Amino acid sequence: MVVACARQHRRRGADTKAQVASRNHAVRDGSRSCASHGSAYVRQAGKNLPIQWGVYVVPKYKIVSHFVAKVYADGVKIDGKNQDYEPHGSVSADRTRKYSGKILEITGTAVNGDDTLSFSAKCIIA
Amino acid sequence: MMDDPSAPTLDDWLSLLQRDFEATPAGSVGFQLIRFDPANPQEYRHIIPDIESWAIPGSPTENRFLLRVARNVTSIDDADQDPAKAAVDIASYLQDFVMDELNRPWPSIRVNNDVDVVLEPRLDDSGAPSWAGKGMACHFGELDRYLTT
Repeated sequence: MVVACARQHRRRGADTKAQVASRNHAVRDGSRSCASHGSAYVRQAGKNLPIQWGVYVVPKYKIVSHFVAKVYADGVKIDGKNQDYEPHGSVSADRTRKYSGKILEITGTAVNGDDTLSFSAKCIIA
Repeated sequence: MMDDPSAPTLDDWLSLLQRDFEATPAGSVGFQLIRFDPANPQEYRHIIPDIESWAIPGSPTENRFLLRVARNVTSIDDADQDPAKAAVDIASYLQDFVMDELNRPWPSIRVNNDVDVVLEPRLDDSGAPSWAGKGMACHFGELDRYLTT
C-alpha cells in the first residue's frame, strides 16, 4: 500500500499555496503514519474478505475539520464521505471478490479553516 | 428474487427500513436511494453536487443505485436484481452511520434482562433480510418492538 499526504496553507483572500509538504511511503502492514499529520489504514484479513479502512488525523485537524473522502475500486467510485468527523468505512466481501486483483484507492481532504490536508492511499485488493 | 412476483420489492424493504431507522440519526437527516442515470445527471445534482463522478468509466450509460445519507453517498450493487441483499447492504450502511453519530453500538436488545446484544442486518436462512445476533433475530420493520437502545 502507498499512503501520501500533503498539507496546504491557503492565506485568506489569496489562492497561493504558502506551504506544501508531502511524503510517500510504501508500507507492508496496511497502515502508515504520515509524519505529523495523521495516519491511514486499509486492512483485509485475507483473500475475498471485507476491507476496513480509515483516516485519522492529529488533534489539530480533528477538532474542527470537514472531511471529504472518495473510494474507488478499479477506477469505479464506490463510496463517498462528506462529514465533520474522520472518515472510515468498509468494502464488502461481495465487492472484494468482484474487484480482486484490482486497485483500491482512497483519496480525500480534511479542511480546517484555511488549512487543507490532502490524503490518499492505494492498495491491491486481495 | 425478482422471479417471484409476490416477493417484496426494494421499495417494500425501504419502507420497513424507514420504520427501523425512524428514531435514529439516519432517520433525522433522512436517507434516500436513487437510481442514477448518467444521461440525466441534472436530476440529482441538487442533492449530490458531484453526481457525475458516480458514472462508471468505460460504461458511461450504466445506471447505478446510490444511497444518500446526509452528505454521504455510497453505491448499492445489483439493487434491482436482488432487493433482499440490497436491503441488507443499505441497512448495514445506515447502521454504520447511526453508530458513528451515536458513538456507540446500535441497535442492541437486552436478552434475559442481562446482556445487551448488538444486532446486524443479515439474510436469514429463507433469504429474507433480518436483524440478527447471538441467536436473536427480528424481521426488518419490527426493530422497535425489541430495541433496548
